Amino acid sequence: MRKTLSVLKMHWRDKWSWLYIPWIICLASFLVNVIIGVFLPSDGELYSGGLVALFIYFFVSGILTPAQTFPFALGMGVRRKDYFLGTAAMAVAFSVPSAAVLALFSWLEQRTGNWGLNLHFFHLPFVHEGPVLLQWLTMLLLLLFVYFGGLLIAGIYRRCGKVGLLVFFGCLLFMAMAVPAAVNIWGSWAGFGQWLAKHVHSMNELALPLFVFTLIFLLASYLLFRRATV
Amino acid sequence: MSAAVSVKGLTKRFGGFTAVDRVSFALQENRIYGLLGRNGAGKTTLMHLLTAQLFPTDGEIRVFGEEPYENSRVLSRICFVKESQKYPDNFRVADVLAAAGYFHENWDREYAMELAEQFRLPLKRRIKKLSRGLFSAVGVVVGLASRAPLTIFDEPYAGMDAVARNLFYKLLMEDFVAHPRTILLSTHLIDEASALLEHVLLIDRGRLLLDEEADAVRGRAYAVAGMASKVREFAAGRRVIHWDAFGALASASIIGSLDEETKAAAAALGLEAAPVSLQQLIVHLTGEKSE
Repeated sequence: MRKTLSVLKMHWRDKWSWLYIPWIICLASFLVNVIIGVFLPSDGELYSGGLVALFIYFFVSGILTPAQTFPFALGMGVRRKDYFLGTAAMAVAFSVPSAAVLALFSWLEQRTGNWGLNLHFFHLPFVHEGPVLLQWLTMLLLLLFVYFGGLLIAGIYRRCGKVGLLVFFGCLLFMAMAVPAAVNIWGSWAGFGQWLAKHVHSMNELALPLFVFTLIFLLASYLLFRRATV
Repeated sequence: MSAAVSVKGLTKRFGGFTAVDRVSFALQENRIYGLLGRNGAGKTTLMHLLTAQLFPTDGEIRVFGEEPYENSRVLSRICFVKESQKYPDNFRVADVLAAAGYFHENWDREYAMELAEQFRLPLKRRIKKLSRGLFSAVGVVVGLASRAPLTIFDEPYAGMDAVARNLFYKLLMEDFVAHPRTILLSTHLIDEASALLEHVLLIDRGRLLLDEEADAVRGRAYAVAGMASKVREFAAGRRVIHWDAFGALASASIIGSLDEETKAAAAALGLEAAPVSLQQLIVHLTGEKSE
């Protein structure tokens, strides 16, 4: 436990990676959209996807964290297990308040009448629905999903090298083609569409299945890191 | 004395290449060991195996009596500083020293600051921006201030100037006396470091060639110098491992112990006899023989 905390503290020393850069990216993207919003005709509505930048950053961050800190931590006599737990704890420690900030901005966006600009940046249809607390949970689960997805890629690379990564993406590509093919052959797209329309009204319904994937990523990357070398 | 490290039949293969080949040795607690060998001899691989950063193909490793892999009791007592150590890109010197403090129980923060001062390390500068010599100094400071019961230095002073290297030898010796611990140091600069080393491990092409007290190794050979003709006369029938000639003068390194009889024989020919340097012997053992 104490070692896990030490790893967490080590990560937290890198405030650029864990605090400044993600929020600079997010707020810069927002600012650009505000500027565009100012010049928008009064009857226009601006729906921005700029928020996705934060999630992409956090995904890449999951890939890069081990490259930055894993060899250093091992040299300092840290167990792989403690390294992994500390890193996962850091991801949670980032995601919980970050998701809260996103939910807060979403609330503010609604309260201020879309910043008085008809700008939809933090509160998007489908993505941000329901009560603020639910939005926070959905954002949290999404952040964790992208981070541990990145961490899994890093784990495959550490454990199995380039070949492992190639095989992994090969399988992913195969599934991306096989699933639609299977729907074509055995199922019906109309049925699939109806099922979606019935069960999925917003990102909130998708967040939970994504969280199951997150847990799978977490377990798989733990097993990979346990046998990773520098 | 108990063993800090014991290794039996340790082997590491990378595909068809055998980096470490059936190596067995033990390191006693609270001594300074030199791990010597040429580039690619397997020194770094061996150190990675001891610290469970790599997994052995075969053989047994015990550190403080236990298997080191994922063993917190063992790993928390190890500090491994290597030439090619990677640090997080955004870390400044101060961040590395602080983080090292999180991980080592015996970390002495004041001592670390004092060392940083002596090596003229700019605490606010990013590691990435440091010169090669200062980069190495960061590792040296971490290794010394961690006061880890098993401290492993892999070529710790690459790129350091002579002043900084001498400072390292001096500080290591001083701190070792005040806080005894087991130190394993790999180096190319054998002559410089030889005064420090109590025991020498020599590996070549993954094999352990030598596992002896440094003094015993030094006693294995001697050098005679004087007029070339006289040196040649003296060397006849003896095993010469190295020959240097400068004009009419010559010096020869010869295998054997420098006993009174030998000294007298050399003196009779007007030659000077002296112990050979550790480096020359190592060069002989790993160079000429394996050619």
